[in-house]
Amino acid sequence: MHHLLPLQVQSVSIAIEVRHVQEILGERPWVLLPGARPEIPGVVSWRGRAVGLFDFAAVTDGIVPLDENGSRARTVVVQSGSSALAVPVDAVREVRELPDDALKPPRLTSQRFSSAEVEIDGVVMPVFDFAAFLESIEIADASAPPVDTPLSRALH
Amino acid sequence: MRTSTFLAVARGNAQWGVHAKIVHNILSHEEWSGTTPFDIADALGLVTNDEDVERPVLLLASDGAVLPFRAFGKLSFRQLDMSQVQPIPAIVRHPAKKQLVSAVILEESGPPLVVLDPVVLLSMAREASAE
Repeated sequence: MHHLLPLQVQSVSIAIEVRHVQEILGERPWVLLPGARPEIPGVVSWRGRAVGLFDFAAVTDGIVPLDENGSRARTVVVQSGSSALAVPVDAVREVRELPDDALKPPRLTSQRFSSAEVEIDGVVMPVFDFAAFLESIEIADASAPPVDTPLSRALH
Repeated sequence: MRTSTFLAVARGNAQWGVHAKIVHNILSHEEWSGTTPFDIADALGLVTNDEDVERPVLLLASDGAVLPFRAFGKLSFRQLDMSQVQPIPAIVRHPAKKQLVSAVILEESGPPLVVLDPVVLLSMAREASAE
């Protein structure tokens, strides 16, 4: 069985696995950070620490990115491995319990970091895989050239 | 409770700050007559409107030298509980970009304060002045 949480960001519907969800909050203030990656443009305070803010717009066609003063009505905090992310969304629907065969290979949807789609209430939506997204970041970081900083210069 | 004082520059809903211990002096734009100050807003990639925004000059001290920086908004000093200082999660940092932000302070009672890394800031200013 899969327990999925359908989310809405603007006009786009996306489902995520409930096992990744830590908490669902209301609108949260966030801080844009220069030097951040486009998918995680800033931070949100959560349980006494700063967690990255993940904007679906960076990995999904048809969503306008959050700007510096923008926000969305709900904030879903997700965790995969040791990484937590705050995900601003416009709406959160009720959790659905679905059999394994309800998840189909993507045919009608084309979402990055999704290997399945599902139909909920007549809407076909991708199932977003946070683990795959976070893994892609680890790979990108590992292959990135070092940034020229005073510390890196001192070490070389 | 251990507190520290930060010099904060207001912009929008947030503030950008440096630890007050490196602040040597603060001058208005008109008072400053030295070399062109290093523009912090440019370094951060922030868009500013010169007509609407105060642009005071901060003199920041490092290794016995004092360098001029142009701020980009209204200044204030904030005394903050150091236990509220939160490091930036590694996952947020772009691996190919210079990291000018070292931490963030997200207090319920005030606007968020983005803490700038003085080592990186001063290094960028030195590089700019050498060009």
